[in-house]
Amino acid sequence: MIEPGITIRSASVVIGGRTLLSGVELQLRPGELVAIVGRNGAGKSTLLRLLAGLLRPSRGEVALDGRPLRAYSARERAQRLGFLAPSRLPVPAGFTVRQVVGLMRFGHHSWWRATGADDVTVAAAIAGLGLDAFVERRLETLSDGERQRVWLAGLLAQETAYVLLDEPTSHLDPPHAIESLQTVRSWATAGRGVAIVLHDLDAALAIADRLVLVDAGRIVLDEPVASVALDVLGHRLGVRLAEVALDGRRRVITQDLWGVQ
Amino acid sequence: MTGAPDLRAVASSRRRVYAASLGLGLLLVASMILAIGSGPVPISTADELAVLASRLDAHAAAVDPRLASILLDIRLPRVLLAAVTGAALATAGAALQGLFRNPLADPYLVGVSSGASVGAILAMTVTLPPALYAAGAVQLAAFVGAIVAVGVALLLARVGGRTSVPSLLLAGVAVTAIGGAASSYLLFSRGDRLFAAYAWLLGSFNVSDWSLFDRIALPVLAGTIGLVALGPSLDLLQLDEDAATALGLRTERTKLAVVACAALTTGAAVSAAGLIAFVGLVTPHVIRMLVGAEHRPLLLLSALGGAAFMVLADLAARTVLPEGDLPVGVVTAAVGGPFFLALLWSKRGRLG
Repeated sequence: MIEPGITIRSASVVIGGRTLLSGVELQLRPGELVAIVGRNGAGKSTLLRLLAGLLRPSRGEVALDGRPLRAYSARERAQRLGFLAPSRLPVPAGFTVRQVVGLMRFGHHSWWRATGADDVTVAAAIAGLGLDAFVERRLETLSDGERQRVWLAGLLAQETAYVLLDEPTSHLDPPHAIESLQTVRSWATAGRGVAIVLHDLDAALAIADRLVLVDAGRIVLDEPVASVALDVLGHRLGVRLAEVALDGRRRVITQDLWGVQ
Repeated sequence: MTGAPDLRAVASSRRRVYAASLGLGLLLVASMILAIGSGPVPISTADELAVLASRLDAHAAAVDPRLASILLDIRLPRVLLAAVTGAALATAGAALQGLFRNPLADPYLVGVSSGASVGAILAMTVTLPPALYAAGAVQLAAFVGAIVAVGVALLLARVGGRTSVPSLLLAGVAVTAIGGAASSYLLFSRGDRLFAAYAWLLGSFNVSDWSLFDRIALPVLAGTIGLVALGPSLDLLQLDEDAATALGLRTERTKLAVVACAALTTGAAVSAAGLIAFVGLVTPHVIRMLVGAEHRPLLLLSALGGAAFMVLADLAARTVLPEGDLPVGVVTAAVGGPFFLALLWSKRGRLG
């Protein structure tokens, strides 16, 4: 019996003589939201690209639903696994919201073009993220926050079982960041497996089921959020963390900026 | 979300594409009828149709054999050659603007022009047996030169099995510069061939038989179909390569296929007609204003628009001066240049 999920087994990534990841073990299951945290250059994005099949491990293996990821064709992979780094994406000049969301169903297209079923899925995804009024707007005329919803609509339209997001909120104002995280959380609750690279620890602990901490190319912590020890986390991240209880829930703040004035 | 999804946007954008296709198709047919009818011996549209009908239907009424000969042996091959060349350059231009994500890209960017020039000028400056020239040695040399130059640029841009698009752009610029130096040297050393070579560089459709059309029609058609098929892939390349790969695109194959198809169409066009400026650069921008940036319709309609533009440019080239033909490249640049300046002006905020 195969176990559904994306599984990394003792994988290392070495590029140009530099070891970016070593001895990594990780599993992402359906219906679970995993937050990946770590300092700049720790290997978070590399880990996410490894999960997405955009990088081949130098050693070890990555499997998607029990089958090696490299055995999937590009299309098959795109039908099961969505990956996006919204803050790094260029804005495709001249493309409308509908066209961009439609692009993200490329892996589902028939050999020649999108079908009527694709059109329906795209329209539903656009409506699902409240973008109906923007359907024919060009992407470059939207704000960052609106554009973020377009990318999320694209991931919704892609209808993948797994979604991998690299720092989706780093360029957003707080309301749009919160809206994005709520959307992503709802996907996990609805059964998609979601991995998300985040710098905001409080947000990570609030929305994730599990927290994965990457440090110097290794996974040094992989635990349910409730049992994460903040002193260990803070030590690895190079900040002093404090927890406060708010409405009976654990919230995290950094202490380092207090007293600098 | 309530009720059925709203598909009106899909329908309206499709209608816009159909309307633009119909409009440009009619424009192309009209410009061809006009171009075929114009010249030292004017031919009325009725006579044109009668001649064509006599060719297609053995039972049609007899036509003046002199008119039939002018139309079928001189005007029609020239007009069709112009149409095919215009379609080739405009489609390749649209595809390369997409590949490089750069509105200033044109079909000559990756070395085609300089490779073709070196090939053609080499064939004109070394003295070959007349039979080879009659068999199209200059055209063949231009085509081979174009393909070789693009191949060299591609090789230079490939690192570790991946083609870097910015490197390809730079390699194209370098290959163009080297080719330009070689062409200049050849011209400098054989001043007696300067005029013939210069006339070739400026481009013309001065033909009087079907041989050139027959030679380039197939490669242009194949390359154009290839590019239109690659339309959605070019759409995905507007995102970064990671995103395109994650969405199911084999980016490396796509990039190579786009360059290969563009080189095929452009190489064939250049070999037949020389270096005609601005059609490949300007046409896609006009089409984008009509139907938007999606590449499948953009490429298809660029082919129609480029064909119509070139037929009209050639018509102007051979009718404006009473004493003879202008190089068609002069006409396209004279029309395209000001247009391009206006484009730069209107987009100055985004291109600066």
